[in-house]
Amino acid sequence: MPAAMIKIENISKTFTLHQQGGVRLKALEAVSLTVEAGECLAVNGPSGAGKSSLLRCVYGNYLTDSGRISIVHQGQNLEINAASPRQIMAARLKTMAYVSQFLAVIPRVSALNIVAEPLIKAGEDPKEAAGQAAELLGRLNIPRRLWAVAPATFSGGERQRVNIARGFVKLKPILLLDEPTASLDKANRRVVRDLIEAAKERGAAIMGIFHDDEIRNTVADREHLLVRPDHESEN
Amino acid sequence: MNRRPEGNLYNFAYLDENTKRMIRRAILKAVAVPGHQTPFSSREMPMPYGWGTGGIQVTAAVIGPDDTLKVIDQGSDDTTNAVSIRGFFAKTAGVAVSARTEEASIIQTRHRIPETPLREGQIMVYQVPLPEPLRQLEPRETETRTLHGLNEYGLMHVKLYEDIAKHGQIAASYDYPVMVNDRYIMSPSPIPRFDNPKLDHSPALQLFGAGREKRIYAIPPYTKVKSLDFEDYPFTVQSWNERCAICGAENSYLDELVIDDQGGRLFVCSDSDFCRKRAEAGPKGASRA
Amino acid sequence: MQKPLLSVKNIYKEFNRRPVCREISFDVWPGEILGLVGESGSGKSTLLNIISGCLKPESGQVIYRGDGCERDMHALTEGRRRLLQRTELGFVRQNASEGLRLNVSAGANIGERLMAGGARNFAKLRREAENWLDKVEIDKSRLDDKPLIYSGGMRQRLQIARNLVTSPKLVFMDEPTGGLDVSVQARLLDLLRGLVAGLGLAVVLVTHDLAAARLLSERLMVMQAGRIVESGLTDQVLDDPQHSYTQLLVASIPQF
Repeated sequence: MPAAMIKIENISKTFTLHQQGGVRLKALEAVSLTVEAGECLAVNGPSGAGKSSLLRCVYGNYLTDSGRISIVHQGQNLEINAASPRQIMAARLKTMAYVSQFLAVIPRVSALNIVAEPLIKAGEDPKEAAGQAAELLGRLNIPRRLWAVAPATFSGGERQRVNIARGFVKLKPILLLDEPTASLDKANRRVVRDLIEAAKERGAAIMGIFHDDEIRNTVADREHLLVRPDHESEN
Repeated sequence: MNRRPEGNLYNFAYLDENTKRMIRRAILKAVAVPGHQTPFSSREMPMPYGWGTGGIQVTAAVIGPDDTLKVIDQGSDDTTNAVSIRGFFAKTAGVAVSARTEEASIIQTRHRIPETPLREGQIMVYQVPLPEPLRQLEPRETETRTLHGLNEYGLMHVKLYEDIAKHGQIAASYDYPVMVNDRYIMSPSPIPRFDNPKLDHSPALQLFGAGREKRIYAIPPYTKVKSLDFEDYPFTVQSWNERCAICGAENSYLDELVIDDQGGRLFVCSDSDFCRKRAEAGPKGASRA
Repeated sequence: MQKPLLSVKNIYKEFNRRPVCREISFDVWPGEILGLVGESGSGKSTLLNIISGCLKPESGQVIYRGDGCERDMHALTEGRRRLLQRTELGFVRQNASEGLRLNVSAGANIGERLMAGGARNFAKLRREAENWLDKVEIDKSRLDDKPLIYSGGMRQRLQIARNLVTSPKLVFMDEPTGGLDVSVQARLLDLLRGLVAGLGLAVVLVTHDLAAARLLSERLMVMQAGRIVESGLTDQVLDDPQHSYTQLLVASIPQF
């Protein structure tokens, strides 16, 4: 029986901008969906529909106003909207990976170490972790000479691939992908597609925003369409 | 009570009786807490600070008409400071004075502990210029007091560490800090570290007076006094290849004298009483004099 | 079940009847870096002094659970508190002259805590000091130099070594990168990050540098006018700030 790894029930999200006279911007309204183990859900919708916000809410990066987000973490249900920061940290360590378009560059840390870090944090032997990181960087066509370099000077595409490697290196049961192929060439898009497919094989529940139709059509099992909340309220 | 000696306009030993009582109370407290600096309200004395006002006040508080006083400065009974302090007490207390260590019941000193072993019943009075061994590294009095109070002495070893790092050995050749009774770190006043072992388990009562800094501290008889060191840099005393040119002593503290314009040198005992006694017993030295 | 290393309970502190810390409660967990941000005068440094045992609050408790037993930092005798502070705790100050002895060599600065604890072997102390210089990326040839002639960044790194030499469980840092050049800051932050992860120590980091907070801390508290107005996961607080003051802080950093 397929298990729902992510269950979103009727969540809403509003930004209140206190510095701009308390303007309230609706980002999400009454969104509900589930993602099961081994399936990839593509979140679709026009720009401004709240696709990224939704992913960020699941990751605990944004708070929600109402509704419920629960994930399966270590065999238990964890309500992200009610969890303590430490519970969310634990879930991120073991259960959730988030791959965005942007890499948070840490000064002086090499690409290899950035990729290996999720493994080491989860308790893996540093040597073993470095080996896995190297393999993944190789697959993503990052030249070997760059592995020991801090990615501050990398091109946008290289940075994104480092970020993808970091997201996929530790096999986590939930993957949140925010336009993972946005600035990649065809060959590398194919590598990412394979990584996603392999993750699905292993039973990962994947929620993704895919700019690129071709990728979406290959990896996504279902689609969830988001509409702009303000449009919705006009109806 | 009038304890004024015949024909003397000063009170016995110069200080008034109330002041002596106050100083004695401080001394009693100091004896009860070996190595601990006890504050006292130091008086103006008829001589400048730095001339031994702390030691003189301690001596004045403990001396009685039957005492015999010896005063040494740099080991000698004949230097200006020693002569004038001895004169001060001869005049104000009318006590007997002596240069002989074994005859004296009170010995006031600044730089030396006599070579002749001390005995029970004797009192050593040290003139202390700087009583706080931690002062060089910690200027705040409130903080050094706390460090003593809490037995927090990492700082003292910081100083010794610096010495070794800089000079390859603990460089302090005088005023070498000691741990008294396993509790308080104490400055032994500017005695050479050669004399430090004499502090340990001495049969005499040892009193320390710092006039300008207004502190009294003490080592009661037979108290453990350990010179601070590191395991791999143990405490050592100075030694000389020479022997005393006058008495031939091999293991006393020697002063170096330049005797002519050609750089001729001579080593003689710093303790003049000890040297004289040995010389009287028969010259054995390699004297060139 | 793991317990917090430090529990701060309902702290109130005033200076001249003006409150500077109000209703402050939080926990610090083993191995975490907790950031504390806010502008100058918000009470951050005062709070840090209170929770590190250096300053007594008017009311409230600071419970430390270093070795299993609970101790109220401000109910301990001065001797016990100071012992705790120089063994299990550390304090890295913005102003190195408060956290170092500028007039004694780097080696003695590092060795002081060990010597206070009874270490009396010069050669071992030196080896340990060299070891730590190495870890904080200061050349071993500077072992006998006084920090007086060190650069600002080196002084901060030496402070860190001086504190970490006794393997403390919790280190308080008050603007450790304040007054340093940007490139020097980055190096220090990265060094801290590595050391903290490697040693598993907990850090309370006071800073007004949100970038430093984002890089180093997992959890963040925002302080304004003596109160904690917002707290949570660092990325959540910075990316989705709720309180108007936090929004102002975040909006004040240029976005690239």
